[in-house]
Amino acid sequence: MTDQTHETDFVDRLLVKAWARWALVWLTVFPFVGILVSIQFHNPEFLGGMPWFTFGRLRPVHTNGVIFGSFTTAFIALLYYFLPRLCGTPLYKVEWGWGLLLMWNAFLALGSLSLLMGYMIGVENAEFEWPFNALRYLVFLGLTIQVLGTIFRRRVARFYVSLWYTLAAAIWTLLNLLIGNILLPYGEMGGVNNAAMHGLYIHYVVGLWLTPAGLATIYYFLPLAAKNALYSHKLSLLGFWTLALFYPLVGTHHYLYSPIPHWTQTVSIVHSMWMIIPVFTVIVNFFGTMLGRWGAVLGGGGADNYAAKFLMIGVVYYLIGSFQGSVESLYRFQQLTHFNDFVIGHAHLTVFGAMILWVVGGLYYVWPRVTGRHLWSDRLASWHLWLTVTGFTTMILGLTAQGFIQGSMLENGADFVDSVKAMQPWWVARTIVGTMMDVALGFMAYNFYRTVREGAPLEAEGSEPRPTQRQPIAMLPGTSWLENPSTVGIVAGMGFFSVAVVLLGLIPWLQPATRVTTVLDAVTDLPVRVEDYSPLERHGRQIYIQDGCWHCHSQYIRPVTGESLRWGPVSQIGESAYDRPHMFSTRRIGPDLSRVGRKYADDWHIAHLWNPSEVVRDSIMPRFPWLFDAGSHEDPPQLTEDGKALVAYLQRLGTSIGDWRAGSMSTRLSGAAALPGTPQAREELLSLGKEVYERRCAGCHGVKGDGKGPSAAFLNPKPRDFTTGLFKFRSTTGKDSLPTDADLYATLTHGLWGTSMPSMQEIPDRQRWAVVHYLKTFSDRWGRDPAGQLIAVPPEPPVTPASIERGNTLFQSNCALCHGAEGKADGPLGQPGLLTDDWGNPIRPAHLSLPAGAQGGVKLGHDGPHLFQTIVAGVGGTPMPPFDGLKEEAVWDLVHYVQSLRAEAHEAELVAAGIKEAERPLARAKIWAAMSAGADARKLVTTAEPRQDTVTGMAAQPH
Amino acid sequence: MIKDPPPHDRTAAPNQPAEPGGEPSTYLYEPAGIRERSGYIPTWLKLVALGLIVWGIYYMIRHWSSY
Repeated sequence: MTDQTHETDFVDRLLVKAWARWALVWLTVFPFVGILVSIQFHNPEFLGGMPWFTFGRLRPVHTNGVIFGSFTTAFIALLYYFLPRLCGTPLYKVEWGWGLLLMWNAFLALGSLSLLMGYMIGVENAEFEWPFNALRYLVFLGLTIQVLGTIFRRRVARFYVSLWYTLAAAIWTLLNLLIGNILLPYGEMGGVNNAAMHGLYIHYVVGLWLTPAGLATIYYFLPLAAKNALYSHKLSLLGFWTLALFYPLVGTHHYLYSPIPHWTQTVSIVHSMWMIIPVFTVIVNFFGTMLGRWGAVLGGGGADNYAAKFLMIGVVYYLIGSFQGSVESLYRFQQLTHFNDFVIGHAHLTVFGAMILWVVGGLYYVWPRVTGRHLWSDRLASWHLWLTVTGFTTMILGLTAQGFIQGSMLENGADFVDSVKAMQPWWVARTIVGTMMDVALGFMAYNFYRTVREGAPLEAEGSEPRPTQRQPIAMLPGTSWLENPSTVGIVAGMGFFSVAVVLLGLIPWLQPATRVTTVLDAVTDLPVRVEDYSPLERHGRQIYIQDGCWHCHSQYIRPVTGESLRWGPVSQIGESAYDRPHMFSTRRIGPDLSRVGRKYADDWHIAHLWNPSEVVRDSIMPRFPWLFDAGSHEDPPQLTEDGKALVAYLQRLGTSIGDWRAGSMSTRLSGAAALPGTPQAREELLSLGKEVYERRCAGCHGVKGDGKGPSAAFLNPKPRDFTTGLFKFRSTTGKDSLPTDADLYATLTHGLWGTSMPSMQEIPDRQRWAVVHYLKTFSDRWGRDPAGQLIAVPPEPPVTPASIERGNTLFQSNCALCHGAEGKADGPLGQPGLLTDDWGNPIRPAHLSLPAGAQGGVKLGHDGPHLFQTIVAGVGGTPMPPFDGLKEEAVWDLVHYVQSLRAEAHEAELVAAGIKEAERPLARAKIWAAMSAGADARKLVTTAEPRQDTVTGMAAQPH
Repeated sequence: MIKDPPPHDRTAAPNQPAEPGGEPSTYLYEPAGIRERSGYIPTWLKLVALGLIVWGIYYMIRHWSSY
């Protein structure tokens, strides 16, 4: 028999055809946007400089477009075909279909346009603003009414498995969109609770919309296209109900190792693994359905056989992708693969490999039947199939390999930028094979177009008699209550969904521990209050969202794979308390930004936003020129108010836990790599140094080392001119003496806080030493001047109130003129414009009480021996002279006084952040212990307030 | 021309149980034209499911509050 006669009875062919036509459009357009996105990975300047086409805005157009445009439009077309046929009755409110199509296309077109314009909510896969969400919701609501109306008016007694999935998917999605479009962006849930709920939402889009809709499609079309009976009704039952039971509980696995309550992560891991059960079940069912038909399908032409081929290829990808999804949720696996291209490969496997190919298979089956024409070209269909298989398999293999490579590199301590650079050739390959895939979809669209115009007419054949009477809707032998619509809709659709949302979304939120607005201070371990964002920072956060920064940068640091060494202390629950929506993100194309605050000076961010690759040559971050006003001929461009707000937001990130950076990096770095003796080894090291220098340093210091790199115009203080051989921080005596290699290594490794010179601790040790030796080649001082004499730093005497007071006296007479009486860079000579460096650039004295990394603060920290050397040697190339005439004890007194300035300020910051009065002595002791080897917590008193002697048990060792 | 060959399972008339009151081995959904076998769940799949359930319960108890 054939079935084409029946659609004239139940199916509105014009409506199906209209939806299918638009599906062909969106199936081509939105994957094409993915190609544009892909090109930007290896050619970041592509479409650069235009806000509409920046990566962060194009990406959500691609992801939302493929899910809701490419897949969903095609699915609705197919639904309008199979729903009436499975129910034996015309579609309920069939006339709505035209209005829904109009609204749907308006949502897709205008919604995508709005994303390009920067109207974006910071919820992944729910980025649209409310008018477009409302439009989408109305369409889903209308569709659900049509589904329910048709099902409950059906004339076919038995309720086929495709209808179970369709009904449940419609209900799940109506409920899920309320989470994604209302609760997440506008609800009270912030931080970890917002992330936990978002984990559910984002996976419900995939697992409770795409997957059931896709399964509904293949369950309908595979038996028809393969012309065989569905293998097992029992497997259908098992597959549906295990999916409905397990899938709602997997969502939190997106944020393993995050501060989301651990038990919810455990629940999500177990249910992710249990998803193997429904996946294996449906796979067996589909392969079983093909038994005895493989030869006919694989060797056959015509639309039906191509439909079956695409459906079964999708089944293979579904098996691989789903199994990936399960094992990805395991902690060890996720350590390696999360945030990188492995996840992107997984997403493509399931969304494109399974869901898109399933609706493509369905369209091949339906198109001849609604157009009344045979498929125009088997050859073009074959090209479509093989380009898809070749391109997509290559893409998946590549993305999977990329994930393992980048994950392994980072696990082994590689610099993040190096790990990104290693991906470049793979990304080029992805663009090529992605283009193949989109061309293949274009072939399908063209084939279908020609089918309408030139396809041979489809012959009508004999048909099964149409039921003339409504069949009794009653329990049939072999059926169970598990397959009646009410059970599916109420238990699976609403019941399981609600249980999961309550269990993994609401119960954690009800736990007070997840709603704290305090964190533990990094230095004292005392609870301190997290302040809400200032209006400027909040504005900056909005810019961060609208330009899609969060599509590349995560904001939580996991306690694994060395992330705390790379980016700072592990994230705490309270840090994101005011983040609504959260900014955890699921991808790291750029580094994590949880603790980027005070890592760089504002100037560095400005230069970086203007042109990232001029600052970091291998950066693939796009330019953001729309955040700048054009400068004058001499001056560099200036940030707009949006740009300033963005920088303020970035500088705020990660600072709630206090002055953690102060203890993050020592200046007392040992070891030395002397320039090798053999000419060849020397040449190799210098060659390496040149390469590393040009990649990482030349953007500011210039290729010639003259301090005139392309970014230098933005920076203040200016990058050092290495050709003069003058360096700020040295352990050698005398004004502007030559530094030791270890001095240069320390500066390079540590970075200079509050300036645009970042820490290079991430790059390998040998590379740092190579740079040290290379930058010595810029000046002839090393061949001409004698090596500086090392400053002998005597053992540090105990910090006492007396030593601090003596230091104060010395400070007032020697330092206050520039640094100010309280070390706040406000002395008579410290006013702006009065002091210049040796190159005539205006500079300011250091503000000695600021936290680590704050602009204008000390550059290498408050470590005692470092301060001792700086006082004795002065700061090279600046007005800060060497105080080498002071006695050693006097220098230590000065050191202690300078340290006390920071200690008092730090204590005041903690008091302002809410530590209790009774905790102040403990806080003070810990601050000193972290800063000074000479501070004995049990005896110490500060000049601000006598220390209580009740504190005991404190180690007087630095961190 | 699009033809539907006979379904693979031709052992019993669709929608008719082999025994009175029993379960039909295949069911024909009219008018969609889809045939569905009652089928069975392979033993190996039951064992996989059982193994995963047991593992999951163990894992939840073992790792409820720690890595």
